[in-house]
Amino acid sequence: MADLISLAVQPRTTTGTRAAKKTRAAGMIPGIVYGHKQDPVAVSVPMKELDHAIRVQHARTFEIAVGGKKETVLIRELQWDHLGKEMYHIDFWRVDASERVKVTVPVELRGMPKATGGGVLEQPLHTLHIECPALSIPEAIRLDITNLTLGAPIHVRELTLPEGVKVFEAPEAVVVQLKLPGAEEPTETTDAGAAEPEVLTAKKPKEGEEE
Amino acid sequence: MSLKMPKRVKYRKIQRGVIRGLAAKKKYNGAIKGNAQRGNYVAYGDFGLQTLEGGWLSAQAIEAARVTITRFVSGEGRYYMRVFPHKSVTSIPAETRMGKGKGEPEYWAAVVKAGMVLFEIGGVPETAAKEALAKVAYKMPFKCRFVTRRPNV
Repeated sequence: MADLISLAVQPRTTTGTRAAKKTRAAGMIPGIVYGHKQDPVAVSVPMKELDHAIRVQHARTFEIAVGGKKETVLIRELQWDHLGKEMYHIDFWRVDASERVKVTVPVELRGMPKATGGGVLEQPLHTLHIECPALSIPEAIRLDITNLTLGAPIHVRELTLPEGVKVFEAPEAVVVQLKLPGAEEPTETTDAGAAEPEVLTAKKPKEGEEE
Repeated sequence: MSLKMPKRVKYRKIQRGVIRGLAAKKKYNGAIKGNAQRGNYVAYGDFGLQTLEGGWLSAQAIEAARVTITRFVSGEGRYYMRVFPHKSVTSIPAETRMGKGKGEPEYWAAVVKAGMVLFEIGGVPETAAKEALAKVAYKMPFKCRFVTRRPNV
């Protein structure tokens, strides 16, 4: 469970593309704080601190001070550049300690299966949609797969979840499994050995012309 | 496995749709303008190969990459191909006078924009995935980089 991290945000008066570019050039990320039926507040967040909090500390909730008022916020949306290197914009959502929120959490696999039986590790679910108290969002759902065997996948219903966490995925959905590599070959063969694809608008020769 | 191509198409030949600058022409038969707004993060596997440039990725290049990845991950992990050659590229034969209409389809290509994740690998350690994707990057007509999953927020 990630702790509440305090961020030194500054209120932002300028809006729009050009102003946002200037904000980013100054080492800040444009953002917005909204929720709880209060007015939205445009802010700018220090890039280095936010990057460290997200990548290293895996933080989701923050304590920020906007206009002298302390608020607890949750990251609602984070926009990245096209290469996924830099953060572009962040949405903060006001939350209370008593509130329950819907978020996604990653599934972390621990260990390697003892006996694969020729199977290949496949993880259809990398993230889970959950509902939990706003200030106790689990960092990840950790799953020990050392006893995973071929033909016995781990389903959502078999996960051990922290207290107060409700999962929205179907209970019979497979989280991780060992699958024989040969089983996926037919789906990968898209073409049936044809040199040219079938043309749907191809002109068919008329019967009279053929003779 | 033979080269990938669509099963059925509405038209055999389609418009080129490339930005033909001089620098782009010198590079690889045109360069694709713009950045990838989707398909630009690792979605299925654990690690991926992201392109830093735009262009056409031929079915031959995709197949070469597939063979390389298969050799590395077979029996251990899974690989995912995030691009498909939907576009037919035509050409006029050598020593042919100009005119007489558009040439015949020569190969199929995927239109790739800067930032797209071309291939993904899952179920293998990072060092093995890095090694496999470095070999694949060598066969790609673009500059590529190794990427991992984005932090979940």
